[in-house]
Amino acid sequence: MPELDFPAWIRITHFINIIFISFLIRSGIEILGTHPKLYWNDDSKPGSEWARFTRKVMPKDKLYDILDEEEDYSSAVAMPGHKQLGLGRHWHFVSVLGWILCGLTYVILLFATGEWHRFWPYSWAIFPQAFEDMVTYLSFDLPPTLPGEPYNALQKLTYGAVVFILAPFQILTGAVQSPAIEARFPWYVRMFGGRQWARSLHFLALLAFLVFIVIHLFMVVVHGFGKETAKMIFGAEVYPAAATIIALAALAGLVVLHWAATKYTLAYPRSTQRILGKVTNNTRRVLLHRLKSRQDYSKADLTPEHRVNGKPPTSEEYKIMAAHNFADYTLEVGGLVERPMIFTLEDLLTFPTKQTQRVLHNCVQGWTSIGEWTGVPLRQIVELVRPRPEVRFICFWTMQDSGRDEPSAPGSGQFYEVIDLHLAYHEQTILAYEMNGGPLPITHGAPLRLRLETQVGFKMAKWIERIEFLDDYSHIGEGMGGWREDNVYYDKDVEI
Amino acid sequence: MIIRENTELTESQKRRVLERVEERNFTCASCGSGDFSVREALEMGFLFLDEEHGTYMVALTCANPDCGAPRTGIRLYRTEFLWDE
Repeated sequence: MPELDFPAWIRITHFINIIFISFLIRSGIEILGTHPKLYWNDDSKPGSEWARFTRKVMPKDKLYDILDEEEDYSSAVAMPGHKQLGLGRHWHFVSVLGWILCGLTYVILLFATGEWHRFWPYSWAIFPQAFEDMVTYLSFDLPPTLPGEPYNALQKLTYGAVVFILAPFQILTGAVQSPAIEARFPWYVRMFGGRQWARSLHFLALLAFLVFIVIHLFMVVVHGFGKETAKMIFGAEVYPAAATIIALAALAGLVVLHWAATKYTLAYPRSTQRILGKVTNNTRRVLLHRLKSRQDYSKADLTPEHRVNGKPPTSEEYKIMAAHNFADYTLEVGGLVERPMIFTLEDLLTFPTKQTQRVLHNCVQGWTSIGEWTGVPLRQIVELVRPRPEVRFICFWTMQDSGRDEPSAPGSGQFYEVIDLHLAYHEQTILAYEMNGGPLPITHGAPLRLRLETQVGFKMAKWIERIEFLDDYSHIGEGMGGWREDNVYYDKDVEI
Repeated sequence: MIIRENTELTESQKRRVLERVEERNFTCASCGSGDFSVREALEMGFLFLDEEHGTYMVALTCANPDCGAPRTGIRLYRTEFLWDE
């Protein structure tokens, strides 16, 4: 076994890891706060949550949606806090990329330099030894390190478990929550017991990290703050006083970094969205954007009461149209196309192709439900209207006026969402007019909504009235690619 | 196709709707006619945030064959039309 110590790369990655993991935890709490309930079932049935972090009680006699359930957490615990899911997601995804890169660097160097021996349990005897170490700690004494090694048995097992079990587990359960990964690899979701199991396990692993961090810091103090931090600053137990000062300054610096990042994010949300979005969007496009849905849940899997997001349009025209079973409904398809068309609901219902799919719906807030959707494949509408060569995007304009119909959301104006043209060619991208074998309910977007199974729910525009083919979307709204992107700083491409 | 939120009305309920139409002098916004046939009713209190419980939008079709926009509706409370005899 080589001599195990604290080389510079271990000290540097340890420091970088502290930055990323602290941002991950705070932004993770922001994401949790947007739907502060955890389930062991993919229906996310109201009342079936095993844990809730909200006191809100939802009405039974009035339609409520997820925005009404959202909690406003303080910036002291959440990044950035104050119901800013879009910005919290940007921070979470940027941090996770940094954290994974830092972790990979660490693990590669661990094996390249032979430092992996510090975690390898060479004998079963290490387990009773670790138990003895724990008893020693509980007896207010310090156990000895293993011969020739930097850690005692309990430290060796604990650190090894955090690096090789807890961290990968957190990455794997995080990946389950990507709609694109779920849609392309449904078996991967089932491996964890379902999407909500993965979300719950992801939360429990967060708790495990928090418990580890608290005990780790406590042990640093117990073993001698100056002596222990010196190992991570100078690589050896030297200059404890200087190490103490540097470590405390570094901790203060970390607090200042969080404070500054939070202040900047809340003061300049658009700039934060653009800067962080550049990193996450490019990564997402490379890793997830091309994945295609291959879901086929059974009828037995269908959620009895599919959850709802978004409130129906309150215009008089919509209500009268609904009372008439949408007999006057028309869908206008135009923009940069060679053959603009108008479809009545009857045209869509009698369209030559009628496609049905049973899929998992992923809300950006974290809940899921499984539904059966029937409609017209979007690619066939595209083929009929013949987009011009310069077309790259499709905009779905809806009948919802968010300022009027969705008071829980900030902002106003007609709700719209933009998708990339190539997503229309995915087999499971449809314009749905039926749900679970019956007409599409008003709460789910009647008479027509988009189903785009590799993205989170808000991209699947409901109550659609017009489809426009575009070469550019920068002139629409704030130019971010959708109403939620404009007003609550979500990403345009949301495969996770 | 009848959407799942709509309620089909009995003949007596439809008759009561027409009585309310007449009482209110409700006319077609497109052609001004006061003759309608009654279709289904949509309960709006649960679905729409700006509507009170027990409020319905009752679908009316203008009887004037030359009307350019014959489909309209009248807002009624449950107690005004929706009971069985």
